[in-house]
Amino acid sequence: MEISALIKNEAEKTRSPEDTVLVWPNLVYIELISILVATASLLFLSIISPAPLEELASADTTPNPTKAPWYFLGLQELLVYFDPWLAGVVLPTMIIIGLIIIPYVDPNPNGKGYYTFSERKFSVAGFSFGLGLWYILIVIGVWTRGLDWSWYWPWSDWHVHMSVTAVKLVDLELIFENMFGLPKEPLVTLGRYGITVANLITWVFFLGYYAVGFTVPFLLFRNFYNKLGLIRYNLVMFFFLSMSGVMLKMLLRLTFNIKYLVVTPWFKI
Amino acid sequence: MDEIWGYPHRLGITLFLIFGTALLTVGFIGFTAWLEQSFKKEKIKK
Repeated sequence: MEISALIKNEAEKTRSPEDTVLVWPNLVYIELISILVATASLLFLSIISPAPLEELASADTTPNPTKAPWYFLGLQELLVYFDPWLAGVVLPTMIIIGLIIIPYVDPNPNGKGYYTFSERKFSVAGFSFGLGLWYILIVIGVWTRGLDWSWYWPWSDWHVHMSVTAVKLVDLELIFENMFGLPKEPLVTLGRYGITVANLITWVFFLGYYAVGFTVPFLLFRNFYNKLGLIRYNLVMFFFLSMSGVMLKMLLRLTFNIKYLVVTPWFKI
Repeated sequence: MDEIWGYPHRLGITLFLIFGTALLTVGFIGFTAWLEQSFKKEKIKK
């Protein structure tokens, strides 16, 4: 523990009763009022903007596009960029587990009972990035996706179908095969999975991202590693790199037309 | 170039994604920093 934190803890222990307040009623009143305000706000919001529930599903009515409620549209937008197995199961599970482990991987004692950014820059910035990405996906899903889930700007004609895209998406494996003239015959075959040289390179590329991501902060910010310890450091970096990886994967698809980074018969990343 | 940045407005989508995320991230951080400052000032007033 750092000296400043020790001093702070010591100061808290020796605080005289005149400088403290009781939990009841001082804190509990504030909590009660917060609960009432939150409930009233939710009630008000749900009255002015009801949930978009429609009639029973029917084969005669097939809206285009079919959109999830707004809070799920971020996930629905992820389906554009990821395998359904990843976008619908793995990523949401990782988000939930990642949020659950935050209190366990955070040894920083600062910020208890008061608001601070200056004493928890990495935590606040990392969380803000995740929240920003989550909300921008919702914004995209709500306001820019029109017929056939095509991208519509506010000034586009939302009643006319966009012409079919001319962009051809290619797996990274094929890009490597064509770029370096690698053989298409598999080196090893595991059941349905024929592992080619290009496929191996994509694995190196994918796992290399994590390897570099784990190693560079360890070498450059040893203090960060020492504070967290081995297990907490690895957990934090895994979730942080995966979160940034979601953004990177989306950008790779938009800029280099890469459909999947790694392809196996069972899953595609 | 057209193949990469042509239809459907991929340059626009990319910039929207990058700057939108950056803007929201900076906004959230700014809000936290602002809260920190305003709570500090409140303490001093007391």
